[in-house]
Amino acid sequence: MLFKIAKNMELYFFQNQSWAPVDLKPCFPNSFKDKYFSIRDKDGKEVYLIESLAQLEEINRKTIIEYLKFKTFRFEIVGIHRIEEDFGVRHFEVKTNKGDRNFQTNLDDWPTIQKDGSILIDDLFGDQYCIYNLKFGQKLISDYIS
Amino acid sequence: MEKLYFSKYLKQKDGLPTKVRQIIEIEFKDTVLFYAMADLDEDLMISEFWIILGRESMYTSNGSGVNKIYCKKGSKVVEQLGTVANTLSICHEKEISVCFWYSQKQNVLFAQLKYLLEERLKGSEVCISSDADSIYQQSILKPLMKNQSSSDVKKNKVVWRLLGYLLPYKRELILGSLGAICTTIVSLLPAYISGRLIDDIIKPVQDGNLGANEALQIGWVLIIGLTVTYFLKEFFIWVRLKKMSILGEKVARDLRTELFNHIQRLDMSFFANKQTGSIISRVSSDTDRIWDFVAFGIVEVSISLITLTSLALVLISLDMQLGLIMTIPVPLMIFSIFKHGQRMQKMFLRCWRKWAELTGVLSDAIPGIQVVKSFNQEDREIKRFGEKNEATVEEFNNVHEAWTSFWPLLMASIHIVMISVWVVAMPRLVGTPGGLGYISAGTFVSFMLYMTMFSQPIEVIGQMARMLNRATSSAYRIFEILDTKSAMDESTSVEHHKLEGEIEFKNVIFSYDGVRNVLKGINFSIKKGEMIGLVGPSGSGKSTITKLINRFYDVSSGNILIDGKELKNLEVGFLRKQIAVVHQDPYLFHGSLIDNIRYGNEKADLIEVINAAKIANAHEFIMGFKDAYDTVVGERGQTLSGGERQRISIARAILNNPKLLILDEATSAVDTETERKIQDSLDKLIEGRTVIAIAHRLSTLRKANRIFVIKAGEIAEEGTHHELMETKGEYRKLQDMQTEMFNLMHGKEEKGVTDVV
Repeated sequence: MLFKIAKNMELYFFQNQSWAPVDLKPCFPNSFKDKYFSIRDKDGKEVYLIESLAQLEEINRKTIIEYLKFKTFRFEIVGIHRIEEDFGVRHFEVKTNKGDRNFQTNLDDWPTIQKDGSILIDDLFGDQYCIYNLKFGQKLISDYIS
Repeated sequence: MEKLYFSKYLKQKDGLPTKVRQIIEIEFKDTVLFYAMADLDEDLMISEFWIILGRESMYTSNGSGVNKIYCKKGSKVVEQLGTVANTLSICHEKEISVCFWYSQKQNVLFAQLKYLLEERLKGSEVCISSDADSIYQQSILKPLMKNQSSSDVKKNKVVWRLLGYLLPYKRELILGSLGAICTTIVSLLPAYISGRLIDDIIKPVQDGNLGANEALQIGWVLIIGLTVTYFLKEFFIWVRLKKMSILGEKVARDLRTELFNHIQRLDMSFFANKQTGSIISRVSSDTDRIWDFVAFGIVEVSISLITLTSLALVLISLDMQLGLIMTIPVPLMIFSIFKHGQRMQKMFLRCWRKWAELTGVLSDAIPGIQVVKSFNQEDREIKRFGEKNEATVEEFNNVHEAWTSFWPLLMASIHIVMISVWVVAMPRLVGTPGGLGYISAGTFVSFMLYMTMFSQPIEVIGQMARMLNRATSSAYRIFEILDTKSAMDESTSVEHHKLEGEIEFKNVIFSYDGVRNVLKGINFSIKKGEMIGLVGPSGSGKSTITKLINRFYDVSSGNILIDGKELKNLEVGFLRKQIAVVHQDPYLFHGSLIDNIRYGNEKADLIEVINAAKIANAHEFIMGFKDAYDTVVGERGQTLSGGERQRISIARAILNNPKLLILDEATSAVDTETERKIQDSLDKLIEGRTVIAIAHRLSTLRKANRIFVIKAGEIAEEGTHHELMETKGEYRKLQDMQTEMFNLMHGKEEKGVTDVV
């Protein structure tokens, strides 16, 4: 069993003497982030189930961790400049670990607190933002965390 | 408007940089057909990188320079989707020519780009019906617009427009306003009269300057005056409340009617872009908020402002020094109430959230009580409910903590002002009458009574600020729909044509999103009275063809002719009345069965209804109900099975006597026995009409004159059942698969029987 990643983040799985493109889906993306990953072929059929990253050989583990960085990437909010509500939508102006970004959520969509204590926000476009430690703007977000 | 969204909210360019476009048009002599922006780089840092599809080639740009991308023959497009980050690359064998990184925000555009690139790499001509800028802007803004009002009217303009709805009711408005003004004026009188009672009667009597009889006479007059003012005040309040609440109801009714009428006339693309719940809440709760605002908001704020101004003037005129002490802190108090209101609003939001979580446990546990009990999980549910209940109480306690602290503080500050008035007034009260700064007891009592009237308007203004915000946001949402125009041009659709039943499609291309063509040049003609079967995989475009005939959408290009006449020139309502559609999952309205059968033909005779039901094989089961044709169905009504609802919808179609009948997988959701009954009723319905039947089960198309096999938006095969079976193409493949499936099931059943025997 061997994995490799192409430059376009396509994951390949070596099986039956050939490399085949596959998809990796975490079974528990929010609750148990490092356990159970389903490797699925291009038709969506499971070809392998990784129980935990620890079970993998060093070379495969490094590849999968690298792939997961892309696959499960979320913007991490490090500071909040402004939160404004305007006719049905909540606008966030934030600083993330990847740069400044604006996003919007529905007024009824509330940030959720994860098991590890982090805050997860889903925006209207399907992008996800997490908060671990805020450098600024804690007071702004506190009104919206239940 | 779109530009405002991009600059204010998205902080993303609203279109391809002009410089980039110029380079492509001037240097490369190409035309921009489509473009997208990759908003991430390979380190997932936020960036800006443009991908442009020209008529001739593909280009990339970082905003200044432009690179032309050469795709080798046999290249393929590869998409990698992550939770947030995605890539789209063009690969040739194992080599990656180019790779773009983007977040979900750009997802719609990249899905379109992928489709266009694949088409181009296949060598197909890329046909885009909208211009590149509007595709880019609408694709990015779509999720935002779905949730947010798209009205770009300023807040004050919304209020003015809303007030315009009061104009037809000038009489109520004038009477209500007069009531409000008179209430304010009359409210000021008792304090004045009380002061006069003390200064002109009580004090002179006590000082021996006025006789008791004379004092009583004047006193009775003043008391009668006081009584009259109190009655007048209540009368004017009654006039105001009655007129303004009725006026508010009328305005809300007008808005609801206008909104509902407008919604009924909007085209299907509007409904595809808006959530049903959002539309319903605009007609119901948003108009209700407007009633609140008209009935109470406008008048209460006006009264409070008038009262405060009048009080300030009266107090200052009574005594300049004391008046100023009293009025100067008022703006500060109003501001603090406003800020407190804002804080409370946020706290209430948190409470509602907790409340929703609590009711969420209820709506989980109560309907699922059987599962809870079967798994012996009562304690777990009790614990879950207890935790949410505690959290809700905690949140509400925060609210109570906030308001119970604020109001005593506010009242304390009002009392401090009053005490300040006393402190300043005391030496003047005990001073020599007529001396410097002397104030009479009566004047001071009037002053004190006026002071007590100060807090209420301050409180009302604080509350009304929130009501005004809610009402204007509701008005935005209402006006957004009222300002939406149908995407279909019906200016030439005037001809009332009686359908014969001939249909012709001439090179029809159609796309829902302006990019991905669902129909790619469809050509066919159907003769009057012919039955046509449409078969093909899901998403191939079968239902789209029927929607275009019904003119729920306009074609992107090409022509549809009905009896040789352009479909666009026929009056839409008149056309649709002559077409009946029987859906897979028919919709029955809440009401009686007779009302549902007569939905398209209200004036049908009772015997016609019964005959239609008989033809539809519905009469027998209808008569099995206690209330027969008067049985109420739909929400809270009698539950009908899928097959029964289908037969009611067929009876409805029969009664409508359509010239053109569309059967959209009418029998696919029912069991074999019910299918037989429905098929039997359909056979009676199709006689003498042009019929287009979409079906997955090919057996239901046995009576079709011709069958079109639709595949990926094109007619792949066309002919009679026998012709298509001989062609050994897609239809034959489908037929063989279904026969195999039937034999397999039939064989299994037989085997099962044998096993039991």
